[in-house]
Amino acid sequence: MWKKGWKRKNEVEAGGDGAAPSRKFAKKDSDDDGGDDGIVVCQISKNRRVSVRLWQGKVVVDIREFYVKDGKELPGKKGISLPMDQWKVMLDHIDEIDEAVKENS
Amino acid sequence: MRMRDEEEASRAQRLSSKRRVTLQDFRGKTLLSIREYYMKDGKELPSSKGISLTVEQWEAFRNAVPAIEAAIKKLEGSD
Repeated sequence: MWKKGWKRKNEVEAGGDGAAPSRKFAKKDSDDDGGDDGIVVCQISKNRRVSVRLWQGKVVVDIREFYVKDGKELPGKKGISLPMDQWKVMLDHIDEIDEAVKENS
Repeated sequence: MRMRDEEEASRAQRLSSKRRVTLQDFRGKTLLSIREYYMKDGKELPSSKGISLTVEQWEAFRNAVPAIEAAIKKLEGSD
């Protein structure tokens, strides 16, 4: 069972005795609300995260702002989800981009 | 496709037909923008769908690439 990496406070454990948790990110089809099936990989700033999630059955890399409301962390509007084809392009150019950033700053 | 600015042309990477990664100088700060663009009057303009990362955020992101890849593999092959 993969529980680590998902840093939410209201975790599934709270309800899950034997009932199928709606947020089990191992399942590919439990994604009707495009919601939170995923792994928070990295916090890149105080309120921005990179996570890998399932969106409509596809894996996406999501870079997004989060905000807290009523004790919950919710994804904000500012952000982008990259499906695998775009992620691969990004990966292919990551060193170039990195150099450009260094040159520029 | 014409870019708005010659400068941008040398510091842009297309991710898809509508999305780009661009490097910008905004008020003296370097920003790395990952964004969707839209067409208007024959020009490609940035939309509000996307995010602009500071240099620090970019570095944190780049350092997370191995972990991102590992997470992708987990979700892709989760049986």
